[in-house]
Amino acid sequence: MAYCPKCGVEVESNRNRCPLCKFPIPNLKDDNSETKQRFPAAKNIYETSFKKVRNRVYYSLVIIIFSVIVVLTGMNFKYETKIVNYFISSFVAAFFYITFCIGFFKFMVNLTGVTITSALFVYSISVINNATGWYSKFALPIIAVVFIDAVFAYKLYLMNKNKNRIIYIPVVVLIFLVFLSLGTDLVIQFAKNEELKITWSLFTSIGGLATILIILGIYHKTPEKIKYTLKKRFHI
Amino acid sequence: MRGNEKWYKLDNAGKMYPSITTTEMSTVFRLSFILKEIIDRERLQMALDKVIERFPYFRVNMHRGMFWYYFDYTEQKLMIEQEEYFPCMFLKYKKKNFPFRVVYYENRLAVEFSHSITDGTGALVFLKTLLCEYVEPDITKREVIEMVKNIGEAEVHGEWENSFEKFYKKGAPFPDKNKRALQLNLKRVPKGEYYAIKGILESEDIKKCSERYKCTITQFLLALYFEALIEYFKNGKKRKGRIVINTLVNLRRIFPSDTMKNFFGSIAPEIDTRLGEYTREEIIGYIKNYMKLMINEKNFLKAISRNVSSEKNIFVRLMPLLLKNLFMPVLYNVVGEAGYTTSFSSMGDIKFPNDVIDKIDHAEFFPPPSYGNIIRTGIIASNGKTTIIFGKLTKNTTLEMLFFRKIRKENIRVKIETNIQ
Repeated sequence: MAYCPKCGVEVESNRNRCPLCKFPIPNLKDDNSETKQRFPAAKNIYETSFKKVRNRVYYSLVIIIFSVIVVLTGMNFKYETKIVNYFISSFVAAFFYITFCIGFFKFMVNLTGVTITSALFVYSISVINNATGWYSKFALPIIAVVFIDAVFAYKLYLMNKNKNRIIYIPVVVLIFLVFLSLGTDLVIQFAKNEELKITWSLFTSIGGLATILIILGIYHKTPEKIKYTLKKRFHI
Repeated sequence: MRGNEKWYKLDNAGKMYPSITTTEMSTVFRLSFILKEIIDRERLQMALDKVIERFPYFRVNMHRGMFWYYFDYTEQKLMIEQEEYFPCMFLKYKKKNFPFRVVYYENRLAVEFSHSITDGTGALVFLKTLLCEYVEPDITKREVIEMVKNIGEAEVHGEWENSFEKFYKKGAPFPDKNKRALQLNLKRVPKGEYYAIKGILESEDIKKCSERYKCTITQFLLALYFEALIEYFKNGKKRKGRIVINTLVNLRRIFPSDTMKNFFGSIAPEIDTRLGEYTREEIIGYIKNYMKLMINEKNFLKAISRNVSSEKNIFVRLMPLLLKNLFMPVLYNVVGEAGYTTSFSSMGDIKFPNDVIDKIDHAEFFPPPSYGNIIRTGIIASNGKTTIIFGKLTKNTTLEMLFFRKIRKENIRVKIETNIQ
């Protein structure tokens, strides 16, 4: 029989650490003690069932997309119209979007993949359209803003993911939207007037930040000290 | 599902569970018996084939209606499975599978039931009947004992009843709304994993100890659990506040019911750490008085009233199932689990016929995994051993360490087993 000297509890004889406090348990090599595992080495049911469904969905979509691309490429040889090129470019992008969004890789790899796909997709559209000016002025900087903003929101989510989801997920989404509106506004103003100026995003940011403060304030409750000061200063 | 009808409605508590079930929050609980010998698969399958006929209300598949889910009779054969997944894992019962499974591993015989079909008592009756049939197939040689069904007889009317509706009193007031409680914000394990820390104690030791404090075993363990939680929050970063333990109550002990469907309620004893320090005697005194005040017919009529009347509301009834599935998880999280710090469920001391008890080492009860209450506790006693299981979606063991160290300080021997590798 093996015991944890710190907790004073008996533990399974095949354990080399206490399951409660992780304190090392000396190996007494007691031949009479049971060494059977009480639980099997468990499989993850979520992993097995989720992966099966995911692969089925992914390969079905890939077959459909590639069939459409083949048909469209054939049409392109015959007609060579802009609209067919738009479709081909969209379906190629759809293939990469699905690959990155279906969860084969880790979040950061997926996010980077989606960003690069977006940048190339928008560039291909601008090339088909013979107008690449707006791409470097507007599209590329806005894609970069979305990427940086998403990374920031993701880090914020990781920091708070063990807290109440009903509160923290809306807060993280609102923070993402506030920074997105600010970034987009700055990109547009810089492209138009060549100066960094905040215009309409000021209102969306104030609204968003106020909502965040209200949600967090209600959730955490305003501290007694602030309540006291508010009451004193604004009493009627 | 009697006479010509081959389907039946879900009971009032069961209706909520299919809508809130996810791969992570399976709403599946496990009851098991550890035998003194290795399980014989073929013998167990034979016993199950006979026993399932006695429980026609469990021989069902779940289907989608326009407004609610319902159970429909199935001719499918229920096969026993060798344990390969974590306990209490997701059951695909909405896809033409049984809403429960029978699993075995070495000398463990277990049933895992979705809460949509029955509660701990219903599952226990099924498992006890299965075990008795497995150990002694000759019914004439077996001692008759409560909570074991005679498989030679047909089921009785009371086993089918929806006791919530039967005891519902129109016009009865609702219970007070839950206020927010302190939460155990611990790092979660990946989806599909579930861990358990099991403590095995001698029932006699714990009985003597609770007698010393002039309380019942449940009250004593609940008091120790409160103490462990107080210490946990005191040592952590978390501010002070209300520690609430959702304590489940078998309503069959209060209302005359033989139902095999869900029929349970809960009380929520709480300790507010903003009010200062608590001694053990204070906590036990509070729990004893609280239980006396809350565990009675009139108080539970309020909870039944809330369950049944909200479901009788014409707008709720006419809401399509798709919308119910969207709203229920949010409601459950906000109104239900946010009001509790953890939960505590005691199945009591399980009795067996004399020829069966010799074959059993001890029993286990694994509470269902949950997002809101990341650690839950299940207690069951059998054959002189009490098992306390902390079922959890985290690998953090601080709370269990505090709890079992308190038990050891009372000079009660504890053996710890776990599936954390």
